[in-house]
Amino acid sequence: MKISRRDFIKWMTASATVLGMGKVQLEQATHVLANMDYTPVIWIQAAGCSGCTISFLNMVEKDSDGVPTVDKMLTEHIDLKYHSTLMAAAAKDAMEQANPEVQMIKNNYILIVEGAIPTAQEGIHCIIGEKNHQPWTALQAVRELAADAKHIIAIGTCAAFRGVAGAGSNSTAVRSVEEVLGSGYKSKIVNLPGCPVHPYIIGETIIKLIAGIPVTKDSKNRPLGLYSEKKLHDKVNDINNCPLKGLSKTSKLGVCGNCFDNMGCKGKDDETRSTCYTRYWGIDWNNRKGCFGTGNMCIGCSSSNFPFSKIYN
Amino acid sequence: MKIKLDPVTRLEGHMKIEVEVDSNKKVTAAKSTGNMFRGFENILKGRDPRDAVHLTQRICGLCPVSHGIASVKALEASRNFKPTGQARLLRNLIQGGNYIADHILHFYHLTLLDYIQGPNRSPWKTSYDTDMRFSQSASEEMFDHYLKALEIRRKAHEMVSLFGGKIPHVMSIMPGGVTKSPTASEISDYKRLLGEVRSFVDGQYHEDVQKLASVYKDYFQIGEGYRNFISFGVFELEGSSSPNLLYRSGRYTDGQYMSVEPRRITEDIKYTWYEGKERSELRDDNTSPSLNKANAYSWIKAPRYLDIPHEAGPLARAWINGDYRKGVSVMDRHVARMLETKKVANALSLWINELNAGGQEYDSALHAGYSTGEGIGVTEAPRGALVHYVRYKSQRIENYQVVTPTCWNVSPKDNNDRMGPLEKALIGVQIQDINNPIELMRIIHSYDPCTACAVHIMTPEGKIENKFIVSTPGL
Repeated sequence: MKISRRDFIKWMTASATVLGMGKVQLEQATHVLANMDYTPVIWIQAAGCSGCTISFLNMVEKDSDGVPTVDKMLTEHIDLKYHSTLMAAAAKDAMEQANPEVQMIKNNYILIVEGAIPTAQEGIHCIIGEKNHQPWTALQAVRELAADAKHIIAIGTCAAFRGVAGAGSNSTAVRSVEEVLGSGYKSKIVNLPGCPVHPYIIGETIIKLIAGIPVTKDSKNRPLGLYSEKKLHDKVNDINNCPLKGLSKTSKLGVCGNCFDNMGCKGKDDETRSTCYTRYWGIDWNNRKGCFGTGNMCIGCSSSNFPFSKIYN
Repeated sequence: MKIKLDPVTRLEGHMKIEVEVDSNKKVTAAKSTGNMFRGFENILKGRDPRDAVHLTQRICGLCPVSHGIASVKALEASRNFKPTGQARLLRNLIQGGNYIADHILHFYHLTLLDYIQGPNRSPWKTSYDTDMRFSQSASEEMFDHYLKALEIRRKAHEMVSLFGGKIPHVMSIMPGGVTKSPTASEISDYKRLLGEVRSFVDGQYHEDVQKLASVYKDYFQIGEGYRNFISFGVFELEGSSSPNLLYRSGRYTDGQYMSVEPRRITEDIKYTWYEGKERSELRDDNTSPSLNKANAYSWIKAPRYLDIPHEAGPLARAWINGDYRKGVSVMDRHVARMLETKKVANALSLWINELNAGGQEYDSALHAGYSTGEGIGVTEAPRGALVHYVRYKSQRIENYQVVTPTCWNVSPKDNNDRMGPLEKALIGVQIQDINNPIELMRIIHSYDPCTACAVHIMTPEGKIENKFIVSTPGL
């Protein structure tokens, strides 16, 4: 069933009338909705900064790949059951939205985890909300929700590889999604590193999973194509991954169009598999240069080693 | 009777609110809890000071630019360095774009659903319709603007990415200036986007806030808090040697306008999950987590200025600058935030015309030479006053402290048992429906809390006796 976004909104708002809609009517509306082809998504935020949520909001449209903007994603493709920053419901109401049993979506939903997961002291350093009169930790949430999820997206470098949350002495013992769930979950997990992950990468991955298009992954569960098979500094198929490679080397920031090899550029880190130079950080696809146009070097924000022990030489 | 909201949604991070109500359903006590601890001190300590600009942006994906700017200002202060006027303009253009994106996000996507009912499906549906006063058609229209606002805030972020490389977490703001050299075509792209964003802000956003304010007039009387404000000032103007600011620094305490000095900030831990010194100055914080502490209820410490709680944010800035002094309430906060968005958008349209294409506004001397030093950097995040403090030795960070706006606003009680501003604002509120205390949500959201930010950065050591440098002269 396909209806236009505008029709959809009119219809939906009408069905959710603020004026005395009875329980029966509500159930009918819910039933109609259930027959529409929306993929349920539960999005849990653990120890992170919500930057990947902002990236999700920044999704840009690319018709040729069917990647939509966030408003279309929300109204036409996914049923975002739980997302603490975006959802209207709060408290108990919200917690029910994160319950696959109550929502009748077992084995049918995509679990998205943003942020790394504190595991010290049973995960008490990050509480999602109150469940059964107890604090429900991010650690519990990820474990419980993973079991019945159809797919799991670890969004951003924190969820994929611990990232900034796990740097230094890591006093709250944060772990990546894969570390928390164990190797049994490998096939379900898609890692989308990046700090934040590039908006387009989120869009394409969700659309592919919804459409049932297989996602081919590398050894670290990153989707190939969205992440390069070699590090940024290398050539792939004889083409430079990095647009600045081969240009004269500089020892100063602030000069755009030079190679930062001498300064500690993290494009040389073996796990910086980014393809950001082919993506755009602008909505009309104009701002193609991204970080490469800023006169600063790559800090390797998508590497499993990010944020490294030291960024600059 | 107790009411617990856990989680409080439509804000950044993890937050719980607990209130007690009397038999007339009036709030008599309130507790605000920050529900996440990240221990950023361990991330920064021992690292190269130049890394701080990148790492501290990762404190918060909503206001990374302000963290980046506070961080570079702290390092520049430690070196007694002033960036060029053009570099300051570029920083303003980057930070201002993020202000607009953030304020629009706050009004349309984090706040509006407290007042209108959206489509009856996730993520917009709720199980209640308490005190929803707009007609169905008015709600539909507002929700259309919710969708439009998604596009407009994204465009504001594209403005940021033109000069910042990407957003969240911009790449071009570094100690020494801005590494980005703007091109003529980027400047014209910025203008084009700003034109579109600004017409939405001046038209739709303004109109929608007015509409909300007229339908929910009673919210001009709800959620006052202390009526004390603090701001460190933001948006340095070009050309002047001692920065002239679009929003000046200062405070309004017990009816008096006064100046502020970051070193007078203290932080109390009596009701927090920390042990150590009960009251710390910005630069000598020495506490560590303590989970089993009696009476503790938050990971957020209680910052106070000369012992007194203050509110931070757009209303604080507007009040201190004389832009808006009509009242202090839920609705006044929304009005002030909207007026600020207009003012910033207007300022951006002037600044972009002053920006030179092809300028090199970065001094690479600031990329080296962090032998020994300390400094304070202050700015304003969209949601309020922000301070970074750094001390380093032999190119390594020894101590890094951050006090964020949400610490001011949603702090727990202090050592004198004085509540935080949000807690205070909740007291006395009349609740209609105990099962759906929408009034509480409305008050909480008016402060635009960001609890990832509020996670305090602390270092388990150290006093500093030598000179203390502040980034903004004249504070």
